[in-house]
Amino acid sequence: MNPELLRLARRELSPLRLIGAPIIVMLLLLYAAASFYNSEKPWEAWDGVGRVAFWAVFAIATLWGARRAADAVASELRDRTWDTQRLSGLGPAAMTVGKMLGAPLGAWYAVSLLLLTQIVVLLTVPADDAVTKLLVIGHDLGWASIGAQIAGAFAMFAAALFTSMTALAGQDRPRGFDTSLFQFGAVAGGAMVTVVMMTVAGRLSGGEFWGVKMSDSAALGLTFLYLGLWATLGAWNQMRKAFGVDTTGLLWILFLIALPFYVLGWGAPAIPRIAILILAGAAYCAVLMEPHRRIDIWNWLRHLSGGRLRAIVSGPAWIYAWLAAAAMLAIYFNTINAELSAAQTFGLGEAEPTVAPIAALLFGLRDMFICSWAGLRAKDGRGIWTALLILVGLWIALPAIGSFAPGKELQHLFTPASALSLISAAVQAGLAFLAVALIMRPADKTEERA
Amino acid sequence: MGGDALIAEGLTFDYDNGRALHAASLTAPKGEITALVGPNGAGKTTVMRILAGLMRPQSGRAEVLGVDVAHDPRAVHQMVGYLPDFIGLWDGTTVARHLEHAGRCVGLSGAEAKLRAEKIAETLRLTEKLDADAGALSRGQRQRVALAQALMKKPKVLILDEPASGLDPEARKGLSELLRALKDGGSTLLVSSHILSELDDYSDHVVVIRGGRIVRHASLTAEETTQRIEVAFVGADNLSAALAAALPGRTVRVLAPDRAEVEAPAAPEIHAEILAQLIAAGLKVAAFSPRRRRLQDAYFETETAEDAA
Repeated sequence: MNPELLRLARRELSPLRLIGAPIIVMLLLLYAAASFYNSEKPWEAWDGVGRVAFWAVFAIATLWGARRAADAVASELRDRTWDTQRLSGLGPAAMTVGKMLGAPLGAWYAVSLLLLTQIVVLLTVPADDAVTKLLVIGHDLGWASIGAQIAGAFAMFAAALFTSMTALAGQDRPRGFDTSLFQFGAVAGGAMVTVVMMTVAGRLSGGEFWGVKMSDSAALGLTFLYLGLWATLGAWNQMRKAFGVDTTGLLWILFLIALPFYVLGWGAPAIPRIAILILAGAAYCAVLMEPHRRIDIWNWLRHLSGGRLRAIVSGPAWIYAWLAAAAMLAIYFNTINAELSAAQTFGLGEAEPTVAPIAALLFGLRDMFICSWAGLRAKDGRGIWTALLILVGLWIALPAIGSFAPGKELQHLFTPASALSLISAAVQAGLAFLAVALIMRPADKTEERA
Repeated sequence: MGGDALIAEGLTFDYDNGRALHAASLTAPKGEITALVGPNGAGKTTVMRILAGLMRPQSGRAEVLGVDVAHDPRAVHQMVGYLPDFIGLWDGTTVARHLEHAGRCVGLSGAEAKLRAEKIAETLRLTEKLDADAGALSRGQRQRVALAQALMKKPKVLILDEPASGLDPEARKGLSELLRALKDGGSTLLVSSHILSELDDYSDHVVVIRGGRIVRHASLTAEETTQRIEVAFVGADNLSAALAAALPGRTVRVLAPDRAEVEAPAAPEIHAEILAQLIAAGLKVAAFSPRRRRLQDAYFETETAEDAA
């Protein structure tokens, strides 16, 4: 058995948890059954049990399992056990498997109990009109739905591990708060990717994948599976980096084949699909960059700027997690929304979704610098809250104020949550430049530190 | 034996806010203990982490037992035992489970891992603590558990970063004995510490690092160095002149009216000859103690040389 999986299994599946989880699940489902019970329509109690079991899977996966996965390596860095693990003799693949399966094992246990409940409901309720009432967010309870939930939990945990490992590159002592941000980044980013993919898969393509008609649940399950596999490969790749092993070129080849295969498989219009390919490719390149290469690049930039640029690699790790979520938000609002309402915005028509991703990246760049600046300057953790306030201002308050005439046009300067133009993108570039050139303070010691 | 177990050539390492190593080069001979000394922030930990395959330098080459660290870090991870400055253990997990996990990670079965863990625990006086929660251990005990974890894979090379920091005198003595025992067992050790007198007890070589640059690399073994012989006299009058007459051509330093230091090659025959010359000159020798060249001598010589430069 994988030693890391065994170690985590012993920790996650304590006797107390093994006994306590079924009792809590049973109480929850009994409460659901009692709440939904109707003597004239007795099947509604089952309906309630099915719904509650579904939402409980969702809650456990996002709140508990994703947190454990996001904390799998972060906690080792905090506790100073990561060096020992890296030198333990266990390889990156075994460590990835151990962490992926072991860290959220407690959550998997609870999820399996809830899925078992759904299977019991599925098998025991007669196949009449009662079953069709078991609707959860538009999906019938069925084998495809159960499969989608398993794939969803898998994707969620893999994304959380991948996000945290990406954000942790170059960090040596993350705080507990960082884990919450990795978790949020993974859940938000994963949700947004899923929404984008499902919009392409469902609304724009009519649910046909390479000519094969799929139900919503099956398409969702396939999307989760795809994302989960990529997040797992990404986590493995990050683990290789953490272990000092050169990342494999095979992964790049796989990526170059698998992403177009998946995105182009859906019969959606070309522009959204190409936009997704470009952004996913750019994000992937950025994520796969070796930590020491980032330092090389930054040294080069610092040299070019005469020492004015300060390294962002030491910036708060959460910025990276947040950036992933922001980019996904941008893709959704700009690519899909813009495609659907292109004619009503700036009249750029089909060109707009192509401009939007570029602007979205610039927004990300701007916020990364601003937050890094705020996080680095303020002491005692206040920087985090300052940065958070800035984000709330930029992404919520200012767009909300700007949405009222006559400041409507100004909202494009702060957020990509509405349609964009080339001018807006140029303004973002200007803001990013100002942030870099003026706001970031020069390094205290620009040359050397012993 | 023979040859170098650890080789670092021209290591340069940049952190995001500055350069930590400037083309640092050092070697550590097989089967011997090399002390890496230097002030805080000199780059000791960075060198050690690069040699352990935990960090990759921007330029330069590191080699462990003939394996290029950049080329095959996994092979290096399997050969090297590394004790970091800050000891991390999983709170809530017993010492036995820590060691079992370390054993399983190198491919031992549960039973084999348990057997090896018991042996190592006995060596490190941890047997009574095997069932204790790691979170409840003292600093010294945690240190020993971390070392036991490293020893579970029978490493050929041990890199220990400040192993004595935070240990009480008794634990330090135990550590010295253990390191000597590991050396006698054929292991190569690279040890850093701020406590020079302690490193002196067991080190064969010293490497001095300052500001990311290796400034001194010297052997401390008797065979290779000049020794200082401390001599105490009874009833000595004008000791300086008497010694000049008794030991013509030798470097002699008078430390006190009745005490002097003679520099001589580290050879017992020459020491015997010097003693005979002193007695023949009519000096009453109360004590004659050739002493090993001390590590702190080598360390502070670098400071003097730097100041002079």
